[in-house]
Amino acid sequence: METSVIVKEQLIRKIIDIIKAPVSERELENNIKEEIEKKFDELLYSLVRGARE
Amino acid sequence: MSIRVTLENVGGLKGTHTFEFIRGIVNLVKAPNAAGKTSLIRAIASCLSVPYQSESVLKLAREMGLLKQPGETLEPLIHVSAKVARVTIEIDGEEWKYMLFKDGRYTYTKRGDERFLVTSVVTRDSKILKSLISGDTDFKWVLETVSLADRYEKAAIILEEEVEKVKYLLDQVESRRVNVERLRSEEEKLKMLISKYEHKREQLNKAFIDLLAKHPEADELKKQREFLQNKARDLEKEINGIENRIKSIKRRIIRESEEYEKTLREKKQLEKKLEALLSEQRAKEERLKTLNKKLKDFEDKIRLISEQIEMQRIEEGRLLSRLEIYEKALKLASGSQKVLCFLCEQGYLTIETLERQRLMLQKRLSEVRDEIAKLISERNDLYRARNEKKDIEERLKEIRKERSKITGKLQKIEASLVNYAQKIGPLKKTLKSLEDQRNRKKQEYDKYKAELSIIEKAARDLDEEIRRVSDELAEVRGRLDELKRELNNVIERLELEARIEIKGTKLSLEKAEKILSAWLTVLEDIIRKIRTEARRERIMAAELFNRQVRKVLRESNFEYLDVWIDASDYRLHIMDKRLNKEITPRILSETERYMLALVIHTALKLAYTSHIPFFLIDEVFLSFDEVRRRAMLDYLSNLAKENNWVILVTELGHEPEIKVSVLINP
Repeated sequence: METSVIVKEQLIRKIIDIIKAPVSERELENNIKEEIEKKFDELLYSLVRGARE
Repeated sequence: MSIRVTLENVGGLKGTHTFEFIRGIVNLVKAPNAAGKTSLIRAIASCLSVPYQSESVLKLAREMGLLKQPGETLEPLIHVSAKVARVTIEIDGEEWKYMLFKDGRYTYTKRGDERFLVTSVVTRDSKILKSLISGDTDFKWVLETVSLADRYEKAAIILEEEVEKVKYLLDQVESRRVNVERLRSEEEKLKMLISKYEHKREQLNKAFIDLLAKHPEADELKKQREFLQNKARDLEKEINGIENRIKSIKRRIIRESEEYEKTLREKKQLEKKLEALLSEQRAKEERLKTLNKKLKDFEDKIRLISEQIEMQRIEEGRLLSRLEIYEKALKLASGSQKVLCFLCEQGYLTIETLERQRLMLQKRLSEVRDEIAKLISERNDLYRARNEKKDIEERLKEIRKERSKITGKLQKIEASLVNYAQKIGPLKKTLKSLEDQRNRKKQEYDKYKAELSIIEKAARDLDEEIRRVSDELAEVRGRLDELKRELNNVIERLELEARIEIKGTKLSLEKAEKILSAWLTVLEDIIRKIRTEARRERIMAAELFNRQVRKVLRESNFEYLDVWIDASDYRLHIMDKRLNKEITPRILSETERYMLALVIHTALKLAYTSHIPFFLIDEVFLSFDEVRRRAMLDYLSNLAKENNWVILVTELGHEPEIKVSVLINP
């Protein structure tokens, strides 16, 4: 499967988990932002590496 | 089964107050105004809804007086004399503890459910009731609060922010691509220009070399010019030397000439003097000759003249005696005509005769005296002549001496003059020679100068040509340097623009665009998905609410009304079945609006927070008539029983303290 598709699926799942978790709005926001960042790093790393390979 | 609620310094209730509530029935809390009924309701509501996780619920908690509004200093739930309010709720052996501090912090032992505030607390200030009163039927906020839609929306907004960032980066990539294209075009132009200028530089270099080659005499010209310059300089020096010598000689000639002139003047004066002396000498000698002639036989002449003077003197004496006699005779004859002759004393002499004789005698005496004077003069003349002769002789001696002296001097002067003449002559000769030399050198100098002028003009022309080519070459080289700098600058900028840093990684624009586009697609897909989920949550919440509200309406004898939230616009719709017409809540009576609010809260409670065994109704029945009150309480009693809830209803009482009583289902 294409990396971006994998990342997307993972991120959706993560975001839904965060939304459902009993946390405050601020925590929700921070957790989502953190997750977005993490996933973008993964995508970036994967695509850059892929491009290098 | 009972539920115990302990309050410590909560709202208007100072100290510790414990309340026992029985589950499965309606608990009536009666007390006069300001006795603490509302504080009890708020305390239970706070304890069971913390932590407030969404901003909208936090805002609602503030509006309900559970927390201070921003800017206020006192927490409304803490007694004014206390620093902390404590709420403890014991349900089925489980303890819920909530502590609120003056600075706004709060702690809790068990997490509540923030939806409890929207669903399970019905007051006269209820937001749902206010919406019904104002006719605002937008119930989207209700659906979002009770469901996860709000959180999905929040997630979508965060993702949209990320999308904006990615779009911004993509814009930057695009802008850089445009810049790169522009810079590449600039690079091409600069390279062409550089090539053009390099060609021009080569041409000029060749022209410069050709120019030097075309004028092989350039060096020769330079040498020649230098030689002529040196020569002219040397000649100039020589001429200056000669001029100095000429000046020096001229000064000497002038000095010597002045001396010569002075000596000459002196000589002329001496000659004049000598001539005067000679003339005087001649005159004196002439005079001396005359005097010598005159003084010849001087002694004899003097003797003779002296004798003649003696004779004349005698004659003078004799004449004087005779004159004396005649004088006497005349004196004697005074008054008479005749006098006796004194010679003969015989005859008489007349006065006339006497007079005549006296005149004759006087005449004779005068003549004698003249003669004496003449002789004396003659003698004096001789003496003078003798003295003059002596003087002349003396003078002649002096003149001779002086002449001799002057002659000596003149001889010396003559020698000096000869000397001067001897000096000036060679000087003049030297001067002449120097002047000739100078003139020759000047001619030579002028010749060199003329040659130099021609050569210098040629050199100037050549220099001018070389300078022109050299200047042009320098300009071309400068422009080339400038263009190369510009090109380097463009290349540097190209290198910078052609790569973009994303999260610390430098990427080419193509790669960056690929990654960002992929990421944008991911984000947009997720946003779509999240929004769908939010919508689904709202629809599900609306459907759940609709089911519950219809059940409550049915069970609470409001069958003539149909109430629902439309999932397309999230608005609350009310239909009067009797009229078969949708109505606005504003046309309902106050009691109907209160009852409808209670129905909506009950439906929400049933749908979302039925697991929390508390339903709080604060002074809602004040405006109800007894029939409606009774009917509502009946419904609530059934509800409490069915769900094993504590339904807590506060009402105005007359006892000074809060009194909790149990409403037994009839």
